[in-house]
Amino acid sequence: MDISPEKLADAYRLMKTIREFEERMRSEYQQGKLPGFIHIYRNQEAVAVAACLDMTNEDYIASTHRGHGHCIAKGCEIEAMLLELACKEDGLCNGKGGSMHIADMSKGMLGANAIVGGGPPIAAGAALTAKTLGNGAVSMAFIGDGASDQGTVAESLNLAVVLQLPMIFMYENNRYAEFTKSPKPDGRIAERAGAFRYASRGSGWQRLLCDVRCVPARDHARPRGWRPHGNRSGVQPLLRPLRGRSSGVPRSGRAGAGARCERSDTAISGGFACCSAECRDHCRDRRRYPGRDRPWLRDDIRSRRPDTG
Amino acid sequence: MKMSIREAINQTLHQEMARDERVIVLGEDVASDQGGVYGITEGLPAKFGVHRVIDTPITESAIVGAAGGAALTGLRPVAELMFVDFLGVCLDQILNQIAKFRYMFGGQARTPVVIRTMIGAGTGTGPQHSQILYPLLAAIPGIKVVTPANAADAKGLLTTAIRDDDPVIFCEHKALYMDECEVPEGEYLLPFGQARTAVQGSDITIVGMSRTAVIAEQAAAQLAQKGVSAEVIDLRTLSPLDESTILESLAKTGRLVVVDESNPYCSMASEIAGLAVEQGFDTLDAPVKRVTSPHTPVPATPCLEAEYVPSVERVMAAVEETLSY
Repeated sequence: MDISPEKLADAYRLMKTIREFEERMRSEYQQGKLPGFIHIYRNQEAVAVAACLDMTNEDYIASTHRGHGHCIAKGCEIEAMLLELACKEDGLCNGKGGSMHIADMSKGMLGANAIVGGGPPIAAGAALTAKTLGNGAVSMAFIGDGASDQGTVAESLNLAVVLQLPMIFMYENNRYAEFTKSPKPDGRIAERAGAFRYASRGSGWQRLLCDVRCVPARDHARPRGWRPHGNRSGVQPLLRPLRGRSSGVPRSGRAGAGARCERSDTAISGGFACCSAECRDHCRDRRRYPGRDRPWLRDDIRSRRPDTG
Repeated sequence: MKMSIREAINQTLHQEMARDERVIVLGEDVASDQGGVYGITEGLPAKFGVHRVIDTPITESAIVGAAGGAALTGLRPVAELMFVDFLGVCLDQILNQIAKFRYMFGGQARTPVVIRTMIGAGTGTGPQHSQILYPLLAAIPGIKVVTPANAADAKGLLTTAIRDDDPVIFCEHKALYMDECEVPEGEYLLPFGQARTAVQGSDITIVGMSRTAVIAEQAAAQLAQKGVSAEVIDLRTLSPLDESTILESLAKTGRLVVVDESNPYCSMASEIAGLAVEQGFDTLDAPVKRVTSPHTPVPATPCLEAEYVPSVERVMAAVEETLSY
């Protein structure tokens, strides 16, 4: 275990921040106080937080239309985000972007993206910058199960392999593509990356922070010989090693790494399980984490808001 | 020094890559021995290395998008979209992504990316390799559209494009690549949004762009022999558009013919005709004439293709019609 209780507590705090931000935004939206469309990241908190936990402002992410959680996990200021969602002048994008186009270049957050599948080529470009400048940064594209069907995702997977880019493809499978339960041949979207010789791994979201924390993927995505912190011995999968290999190692041994996170059948409400007893207990405390047993889609579908898209 | 447009673009890429190591070139075949279909990038990989002159798979969305993402994060990529027709497979990355970044992110983002692309008919390449499509691009806010008509302008405008902090689509007419003219030595920049008055005249204004600027000049030479003094304006950039040069010329001549290789609907010719009607109505002595390609795909067969594109003869006929109104 190389993750300290303090860091886990920070992660939990971030997840909780995302949850509360999203609950509040949904409420504001349903009261008609926010313009446009709002897509809520509730129940996927662990993915964003785990993915960004070991990133710095020099690393890049390209987000999706459901991007608030990614923003918060990447360090964007909550108040400026709120103002952006309200399309105010003091928002992160001066109110020009709103929820679906929120971005913060200073944090390496290259934008939410209202085009499903629009982000991965952009993230590939950021990875190309990192490779060209040799600055050790990595780039991550968040990809929903809906986006996984888009050609841009396949094109980006291929380009990242061919150009050997320091890039991570983070799949988030919430099992819905827009309002439709997404029909997939086998339901395992990230394994498609295997066709491009990526290693993929996944977990239920409840175990996500333990399983898909992105240090291994990030370090493997970096150019060979890059030593960000001197000693990489602490960089290992935290709980469950990938079969036969450490996490995120490209099977080809030469290209960007992949990671995936499938929502498991039992995963509900973006649960958070930790690898230390005290954190686990902390997270299981319902008083600290209300609503954990609510199936997340039901409310939204019942209310027929666009935020279930 | 006299050189072709092909050579001028190649020289400019060499100069800018040597000047600024953030400039990279990427696209299909760009690092190949022959330097792409028309040899535009010849010699670049040998000089700057394949880490800066990057051959990509045939993957236009990823090429354009990655160029945009690289621009967003500190490089100054020059991406090649081999033929502008391939816009069909990467339009989202231009229309919804790179064109929008600066505005929709509230001005915090810069996207210094150039997309070089080949346009136009005249080489028998048929419906999916011969289109113009620049009006479609010029209609998108957030990108600049550049259409050089000679080698000197190609150099000056490409240098400006690479140093510009916004996305620029640089349209190279493949029927003009071998046209030669004198090109300034060393560093040479031309401002965007400033048209070139190629021929001074007083009887009629002929506006062209890219290859049609050359055709307009040829028509003006023949008209001069008939005693007609035509003024020829080469737009150089379609977005931004130099409206004042067009209107000032119109105020002088009172008559306007626009020559545009686009299909007629929603063409640059339509836009300029609209400009003349809206802002120059009092100066018009005759209806504006548009000389464009017809509203059909580009035929591959050379005999039809020759009829398809605006010709000197069609420009002459339009001028005579306008003058006799």
